[in-house]
Formats: sequence, structure tokens, C-alpha cells
Amino acid sequence: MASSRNYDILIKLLLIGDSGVGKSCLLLRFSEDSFTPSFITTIGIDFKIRTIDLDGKRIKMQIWDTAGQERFRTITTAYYRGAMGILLVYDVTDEKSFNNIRNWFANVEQHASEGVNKLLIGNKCDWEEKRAVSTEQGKALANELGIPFIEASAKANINVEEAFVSLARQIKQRVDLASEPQPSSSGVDINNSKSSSGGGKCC
Amino acid sequence: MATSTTTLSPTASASITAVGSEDPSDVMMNHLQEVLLLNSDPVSLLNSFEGDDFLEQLAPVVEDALNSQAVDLLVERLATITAQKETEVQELCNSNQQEYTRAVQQLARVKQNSEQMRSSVLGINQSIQQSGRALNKMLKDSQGARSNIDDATAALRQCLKVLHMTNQVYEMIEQKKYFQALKSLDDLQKNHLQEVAQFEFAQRIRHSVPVMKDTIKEDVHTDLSVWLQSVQEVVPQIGMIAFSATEVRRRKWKAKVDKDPQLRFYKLNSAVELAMEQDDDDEHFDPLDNAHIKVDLTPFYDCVLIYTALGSLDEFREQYAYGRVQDKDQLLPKSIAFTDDDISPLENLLHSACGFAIVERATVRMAYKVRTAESVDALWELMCQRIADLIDPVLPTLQNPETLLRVRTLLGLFIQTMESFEFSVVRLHSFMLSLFGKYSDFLKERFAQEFSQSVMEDDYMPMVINQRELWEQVVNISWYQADVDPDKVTFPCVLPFSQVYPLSCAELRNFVNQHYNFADEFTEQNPGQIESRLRTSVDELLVDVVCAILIKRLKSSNREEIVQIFINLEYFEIAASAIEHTLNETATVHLAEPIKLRAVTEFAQARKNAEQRIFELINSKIDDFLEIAEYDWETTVENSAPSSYLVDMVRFLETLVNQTLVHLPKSITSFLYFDAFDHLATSMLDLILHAGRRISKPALHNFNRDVHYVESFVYELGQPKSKPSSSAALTTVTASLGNRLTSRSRNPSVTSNASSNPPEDPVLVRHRSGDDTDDNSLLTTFTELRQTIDLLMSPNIEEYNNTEVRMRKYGRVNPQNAIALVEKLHAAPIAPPSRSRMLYRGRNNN
Repeated sequence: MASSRNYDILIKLLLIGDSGVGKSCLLLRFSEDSFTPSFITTIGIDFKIRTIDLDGKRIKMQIWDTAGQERFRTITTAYYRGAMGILLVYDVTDEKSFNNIRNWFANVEQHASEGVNKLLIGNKCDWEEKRAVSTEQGKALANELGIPFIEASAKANINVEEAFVSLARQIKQRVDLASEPQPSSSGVDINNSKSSSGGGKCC
Repeated sequence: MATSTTTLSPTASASITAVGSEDPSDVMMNHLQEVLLLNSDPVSLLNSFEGDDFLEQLAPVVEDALNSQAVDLLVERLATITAQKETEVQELCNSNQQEYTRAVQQLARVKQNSEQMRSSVLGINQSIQQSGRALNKMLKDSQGARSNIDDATAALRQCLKVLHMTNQVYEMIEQKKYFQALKSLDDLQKNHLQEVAQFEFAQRIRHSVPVMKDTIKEDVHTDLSVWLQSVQEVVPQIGMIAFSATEVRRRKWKAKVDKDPQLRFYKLNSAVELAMEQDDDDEHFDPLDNAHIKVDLTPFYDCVLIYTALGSLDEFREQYAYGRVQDKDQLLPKSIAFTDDDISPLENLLHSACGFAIVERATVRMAYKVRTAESVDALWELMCQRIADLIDPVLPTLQNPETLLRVRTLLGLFIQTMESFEFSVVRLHSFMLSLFGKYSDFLKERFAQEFSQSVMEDDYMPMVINQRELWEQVVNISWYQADVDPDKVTFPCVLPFSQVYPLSCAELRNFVNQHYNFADEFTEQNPGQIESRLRTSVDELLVDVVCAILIKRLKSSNREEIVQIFINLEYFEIAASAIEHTLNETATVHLAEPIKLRAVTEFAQARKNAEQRIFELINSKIDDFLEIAEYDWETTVENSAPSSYLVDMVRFLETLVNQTLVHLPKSITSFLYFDAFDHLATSMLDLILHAGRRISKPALHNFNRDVHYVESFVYELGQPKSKPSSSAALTTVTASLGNRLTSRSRNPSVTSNASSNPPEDPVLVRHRSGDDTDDNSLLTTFTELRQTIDLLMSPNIEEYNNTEVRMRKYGRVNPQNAIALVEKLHAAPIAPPSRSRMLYRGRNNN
């Protein structure tokens, strides 16, 4: 199995955000291109793998999906460090989940590796009649935090692919940059190089 | 002569009176006078004087005179009287002489006249004689004429009578007195017409008799049609009244059954019910004659009489039967439309059918020769068929099961009503049964919808309950046996199943109850059919809906969902058994074999599927990790820490075990771990087997470290930690897993071989000694891998050739693998840049 490795780069991503914002749904959309309205809460942690072609490279993405519930915080926090990219997700119809992004961001700052790529995602952007957080608010927060921003919908399949791929691209650029001068021995290295180059698209 | 007496008597009496008053001789004189007076006719007096009588009378007078000495006086007196008498006679003779002469003369004249008269009388006689002869002839003539006249009169009377009768017949027909008319017509034909047969008009009348009969027939028929039409109009009303009568009886019977539960075995229209009904209801309900409606059957009866009289009963029977078939077709519409909101068209249909049949039954009772029970029953069967055909297509359009319930009630009432009028309801029963099936399908569909909804909305988490009330409600509905004392339950409390389960239980109970409710009061002819139908329905529901949907749901890649489905399935199996039990308990008929629900085994099977899915899911996660495993088999660097993919994996599995799989029964988790670690160990062995042509010592060291790391985790997992029961559960289950494991094992004979072990590794100590006696048999999944690595790392690799050592230490090692690996280990370290560092192949290619 390992001998027939079918990818060039492994990228580990982490989805965080309040319970119910749709992290698992975003992941399901991205990994299996499917959506089922579901009330299932992720217990602890889960992950999915998807391999994409990006600029001539096969990128294997291992995307960790965390439980949003407070009671799983200890378990999920352990996964921050290994992540190369973190998607902070809120629900545009739920203001509280948006306000909590600052807390999630603080957690990232505290536990994640330095230089980890981040992306702010406002999910459920198809649900206009219920919207509680405007795109501008999202943009403003992203600017404030210095991270890219995108609004998406797992249900309507809006910007999901874009969100993951753009984050993957940023990570790849960062890794490529870092590994050019000195190839590391332990796979992809996570360097200090801050690449806040905007790749986020807003819907 | 008379005058003489009268003239005498006053003087005599005067003289006697004068005498009498002074003298006894006067008395004697008076007496004498009296005697004389008595014989006043002088002739006879004279004669009497001479006769004895006279003398006898005279004698006392004389005697008296003698006695009174008045004889002289008497003689004197007598002499006086005699003288007087003599003068009188003298005078008389003198006066009559003349008259006599005159009389003779007159007589002569009379004689002459009579002579004349005699001759004229003779003349007259002669002429009379002549005229009498003519008269006689005339008399004879008139007598003949008179007899002729009499004959003519009689004949005329006859004719008049016939004509009158004929007229009367017409009148009677006009007055609709058809039977009388027919009788008269018959009388006319048989008697009176014969008498006047010679007349032309009689012939005419005779010829017109059949025409008149036809007229009568037509009129009667028309009347019957009119009557039938009028009956047809009230038929729905008849049915409606009959329905309410049945409803009343039904309620009465229910009240009786409530009072006396013994009666519950008897249905409405059973002999028992009918007998009791008659007991307390002296006046029998007549649907055709009651407070609300009166149907006069006379026109029908008249018709029967007329046709009987006409001798065309057969014709009438056929005609009537045909007419009724047509009436039925007219009565029952070509199609009916009733909806959830309004089933009155169906109600009307059934009322009409009922009323129609009741009238039919009444005609049979009135004239069974005309309206045979057979033809009525045949017509009834046709009606039943038609009704079923009418209702059938509408049923699928109904959306609300409540409507079916109302249809059921209506049909039930219809059946019971018709049964009480001795109509066969077998056909209706089977329709009812199919209605039951439809209802059941309906409920099933509704259940399926709600179940799908619940399944979709379920959170697939063990249910957390905060209130005792809710807890009790859920426990009661879910056939759940709490393993703790209900009084000691503390809240919040966690139940093993997710909320979809109690929700479905409620629906399931509802489903079964609705079936019972439908079958309630349903007079079935084949008891047990409902039960078997219900059993099938419940089974189908459980298998085709619940089980099928859950199995479909197992395709999900969501492990929380699959794990919870697995747990739920276990409870659904319990629920299925409980329902099976209920069905057996409530069966009203003795069952040859107890009801067995397929669902029970289906759920068990589904649970195996779920179990399999959990295996697949965990194994696929392990594969995911293994796919990102990075081994540099020719490295010169010994790592100080396990590979990151394994660290991730172990951490992931730990979370999985402690968070997700923790709710699974121990029997399953042991099985699951066994399977997962067997898979992991095999895959890791594959990793090293598929290493390049050479494996460096540091690479082997690193790999050994990784395997060790996993073994520690596996060992810890197998250790009874906080839950003391797990060990026991684990052992019993692993024993039962024997077969499965041996079949997987490449070398089954060695499982119990390893006994002695190198003391250098505590994990290995436990690992090797634990095959059977130690509680940690999970580690046996790594035995082959461990022995293989041990062999490669052994400072004395040749000992493998020693059979005894080999059997003891490397029993599980596949000899071919051993050879291949040892070869790689001893391969020369040539390192072409393009092949040696697989990890960076991608980058190198770049």
C-alpha cells in the first residue's frame, strides 16, 4: 500500500466552529459530493480523505471534522497541532455561531502550529430568508482576523469546492516555498512562513 | 094488512089500559090483545085460531077470564073484534077489484111488448154472433204479436245486460278495478255472450275481449311501473331507516355485551342476539311500514293477481325479473365519487342498495312464485359485485385512513343490515377483508412516511431524558426493560436507543391498535383472517419499512448513525418479539401454530449487516491511515517516536472507542476490535512485505517501534479498566469467535503454541502468555506480525531452522514471508537515488 503511494502531497485540514453550523455537511459535500439533511452531531472527531489534482500535483487531503460541542473540546483540541489548514465555520443564519468565531480563532492561535493557514467560512448562504449575518460582517471579521473569507452552502453546493481547494492551494504554496531550499525528512513541514495571500472568494 | 093492525092497536091498548087500571079483567084483555097482536097477520091469525097453538095461547086468556068471571066481557070483546075484522075484509075486497082489472090490462100490454123485444133480441143476437167471430180472430192475432214482443223484450234485455256489463268492464278498467274487470269479462265471455251469440254486436264484443285483456295487462303494467318508480324513489330512505334500525340494535347489543361479557362471543345477527332481540322487542321492525315510511305493496300484489288471472304468470315473472335487473342498473350509478371530506355518495349508494334489496325480499315473501328467492339472491350478488367494483377505484384516491374507517363502519352496518334480511354477505365480507388490506396498506404507507421522517430527523444519539414523566412514558411505550430500579433512576438519564425508536414504538402500537380498531365489531365469517392479515401487515411493516429503511440507512458513511442504528436494531428486534407476543395473546381463534414474525429474524439479520458496516467503516478508516503511512525502508535514521500516521490513528481509534463505540454492547465491541486489529496487523504485515528490495536495520527498528506502539494500545484496550464486566464479556465472546478466527488464521494450529517468551518486553510477555489464559486475547491478532518482526530482529536468525524453536517462537510466521523478508534484510545497501526514497518520490519527480 505504502509502496504504491498515489499522491504527491498530504495536506491535513481541520474544520472547527460551533455545533450545527454544518462542518460535517461541508465535508460530506466536499468528500462525497452529497448532502443529506441531518441532525446528527459528530461525536469527538472524524475525518475524510479526498485526493485532488492541483497544479499538476496529486494532493491528498485528510480533513478532520471536529465536534462543535463543548464537551468534546479536549479531544478536538488535540488535533489542532497536526493541522496545516484550519477552516473556521459559522452559520450565516446563526449570529451566535458568528460571534463565537473570535473564540475559535483564539483557540487556533493557542493550540495550532504557527503559520497554519486559515479560512473563514460562512455556511448556509443559500438560506437568505433566515440570514442573520451579512456578507459584509463576514468580510469585516475576516479582515480583522487577517484571514480569507468565503460564504458557502453545503446544501446548495455553493463554493464548497472553492473553499477547500483555495485553502489547499495556499498550503501547497506555503509548503512548496518552505521545502524549496531545504527538503524536510518528515513529509510536509509546517513552517513559520505566513502566507496570508488572499485566495478567498466571496459569494 | 099491516096498516090494519096499526090502526087497531092504539084503540085496543087504550081500552086495555083503562081496564087494567081498575079491573082484573083488564089484565086478561091485555093478554088477549097481546096474543092477537103476536099473530098480527089476519090470515095466519085466523089460521092460528083454528090451530092448537092459537088455542093454547087463547086458553090461558080464557082461563083468566074464567077466573075473573069476565067471560062475558071476553065474548063481547071477541065479538067486537070479529065484527071489526069482517068489515075490514069487506073493504079490502071492494078496493082490489079495480086494481086487478087494471093489472090484467097491463099484463096484456107487457106481453105484447115482450114479444116485440124478443124478436129484436134475436136480431141482436144474430148480429153479435157475427161480430164475435171477427173478434176472436183478432184476439188470436194479437196474442201472437204479444208473444213476439215478449221474446224481443227478453232478447233486448239480454243484449242490454251484455252491453251494460261491457260498459262496466270499461268503467272498472278506468277505475283500475282490474281484477273485477277481468272477472266480469270472464263472466261475460263464458255466460252472457253465449246467450246473445246470434247478434253481430256480441261477436264484436267477443272479439274485443282479448283486446280488453291486453288493455288491462298494459294498464296494470303501467301502474306497476309507476309504483316501482315511486318505490325506487323512496328506496334510499328505506335503506337509511333500516340502517338506523341496525345501528340501534347494534348499540343495544353492545350494551348487553358490556353488561354480560359472556355474550361477547356472539355477534350481531347471531342466533343468540336475534333471540334476545325478539325477547325484549315485541313489535318487530318493518322497514317498509313504520313511523317514517309506508310502502304499499298492493299494486304489486294486484299485478300478481291479474297476471295469475290472465294465466300469464310466467310472462310476468320474466318481465318483472328483467325489470328489476334494469332498475338495479339504474339505481347503481356507473361510477361514484366520494372523498375524504364527503363520503355521502357512498352512504347514498349503500342506502339505495339496501332499500332495493329489502323491497325485493318483501316481494319474495309476498309472492314467492313470482319473485323467486333465487333470482333475488342472484340479483343481490350482482349488486354486491357492482358495489365492490364501484368502491374499489375510489379507495386509492383517499388520503386519510380515517375515511377508510368510516367506509368500514358504513359497510359494516350495511353487512349487518343485509344479514338480518337473510342476504348472503360472503361477497361483502371478502370485500371488507380487502378493505382491511387497503386500510392496512394505508396505515403502512403513513407509518412509512412518518418513520422516514423520524429516521431523517433522528440525531442518532442515545436518548437523554431529563424528566421522570417522560422517562416513564418512553419506557412504557418502548418495551424497554430498564436494568435499574425505576425508583432509583436519576435524571438526566440516558437510554441506549435514539429517539427514533420510542417514536416508532408509539407508531407501531398505534398501527396495531388501529388494525384492531378496524376489525372491532366486524362480523367476520372466517375468524382468523383478520389475525393473519394483521400479522402479515405488521410483519411487512417491520420488515419492508422499518428494517428496510434502517438497512438502507446503513449505506451512510456516518459512523454515529450506523452505530446507533445497530443499537436501535437490537431494540427493534425486542419490539418485534413483543408485538409477536401480543399478537399471539390477543388472537381470538385458536392458532395451530403460534404466530412467528419474520421481522424478528430480519432485525437480527439487519443487526449483522449493521455490525458488518461498522467493521467496514472502521477498517476503511484504518485503510485511510495506512494509505498515508510513510516508511523509508532503507533509512539510516532510527526514529525516537512512532510514525505520525499511527499516532493519529491510535488517537482517533481511542476517541472512537471511548466516544462512539462505547454504547455498543461489549460482545460487539470485542468482536469489532478483534476484526479491526486483525485487519490492521495484516495490513501492517503487508506494508513490510511490500517494502522495496531491501530493509535497513533502522527501518526495521522504526517499524518495530510502530508495531509496538499499536500493540500497547491494543493491550490497553483489552485490559479491563473502569468497567470490570468487560473482561468476562470479552472472554465469552472471544470464545465464540473461535470459528471465525480460525478460518481467518493462515496457520490455525499455532494459536495455542506460544508459551515461553523473552523477558525483555512487558507487552510481549502479556502478549505471548495470554493466548488462552490471559484475559487479553485481542493481542493475538498481532501474533503473526510480532513473531515475524521478532524473527527479523532476532540476533540468531538461524534458530528458525530448528523445528522446536520455530514451533515455539515463530509458529505463526509464514515460512515464505520469513524467507522473503530475511532476504530483504540481508540485501546489499545499494541506493539508486530514484528508488531509495519513496517518500519523496513525488517531489523527486518534480
